Amino acid sequence: MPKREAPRRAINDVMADHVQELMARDGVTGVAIGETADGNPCILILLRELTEAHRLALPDQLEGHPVCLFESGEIRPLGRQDE
Amino acid sequence: MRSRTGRLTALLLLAAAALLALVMWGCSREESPLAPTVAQLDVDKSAANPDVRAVMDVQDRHTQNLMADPTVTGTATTFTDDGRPAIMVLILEEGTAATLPQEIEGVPVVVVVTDRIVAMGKPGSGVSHVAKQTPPIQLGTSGGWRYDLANGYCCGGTLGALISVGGQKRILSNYHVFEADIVSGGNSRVAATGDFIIQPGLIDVSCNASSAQNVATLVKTSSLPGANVDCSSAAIISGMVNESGAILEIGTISASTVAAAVNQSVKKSGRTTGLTRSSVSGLNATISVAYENECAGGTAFTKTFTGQILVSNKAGKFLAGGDSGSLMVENVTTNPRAVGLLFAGSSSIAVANPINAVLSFLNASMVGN
Repeated sequence: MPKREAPRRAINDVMADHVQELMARDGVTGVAIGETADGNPCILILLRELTEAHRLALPDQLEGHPVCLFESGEIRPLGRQDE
Repeated sequence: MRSRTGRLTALLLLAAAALLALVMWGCSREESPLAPTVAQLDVDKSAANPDVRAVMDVQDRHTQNLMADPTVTGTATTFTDDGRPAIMVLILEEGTAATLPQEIEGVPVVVVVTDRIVAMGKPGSGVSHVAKQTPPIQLGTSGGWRYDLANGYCCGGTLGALISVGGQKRILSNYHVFEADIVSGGNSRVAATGDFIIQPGLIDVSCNASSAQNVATLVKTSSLPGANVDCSSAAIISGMVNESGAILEIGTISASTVAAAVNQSVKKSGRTTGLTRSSVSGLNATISVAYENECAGGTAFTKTFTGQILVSNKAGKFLAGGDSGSLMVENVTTNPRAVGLLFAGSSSIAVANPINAVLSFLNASMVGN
């Protein structure tokens, strides 16, 4: 029977402890608190490009909290420049 | 003439039925992954079906009453997920759904939340967010630093909202819209307090400032790179800015603010995409954003923001280049409360500073009711 670790710490605290390590990973553009498709809080990892390698390399949960992956593209300031 | 109109009507009905089928398939795909049954495919979903015509008659009888609510943008005849003819009611705000009946004359009601429906080919609602306005101007419009021209390009963004700092009314926008020029580089100047802020921005007057109007003077605060907000403000020039703080297509806002929540419905009024709506998709976000040292200049620094608000931005429809500086407010019709200051994004996600962090940094309050 599959087992899942029960969360013992608040999701914001867990995210705070992991954000530096996650942001240092190649292709990660951001980390946030998001929501799974069934409406539960998750640790949301934004990726410039979501690849199969990312799916394999990134955890599917952190201390019992689910991890969601999202392809964000490059995040940049949204001023505009024209010639 | 009549037969031509009749053929056109039939074609439109067929197209509408096909579109509705696609919409229904798309909307229900997550919950109902199964393909439609043969029985469902056999149902005649055109106006030739007497059941469909009967529902159209009910729809016609009630459309005027339904559309008396300004947040109802349309009605149509459609089908429920289980294949029954129904009346579709298109609404702008999720909250309207609770006020609608589940059935009308025994016909089920299907509610669809949508953006405001506009004629294609004519951007927005006909309200221009880039045209030079007759003062006093409303916000949610094109603007920027008067001298934001360097390296063969000009830059600009959105004059987002009106704030009050110690009783002085100022236009709120982003650091990178008002004061990001920090090297003399391509234009031999850096942004300084007292410089003019113009409407529209240089990007909408072919980079020629003389075609724009001065509406405010910059109060340089250098929020970046040190602080956790991308904001700046400019003191309004008397008579040039609507002092109620009205924003194009939003109107006046509340003087109070509200914290973001996941799935919260929000809207903004900006230079490029005009009035658009979306929903909050993430909170407490850590995001790294690279900034230039002047228009089309080199990289000045990369800032890692914490505690940010993420908003869905599918295909860049909520926020696009030039919308920076837009105020994000809750999606209600009357005096919405500010939620965040939009400043960055991609073609799938938008990012906003929580408005209270912005106001706290500037020691400001929103101008509103």
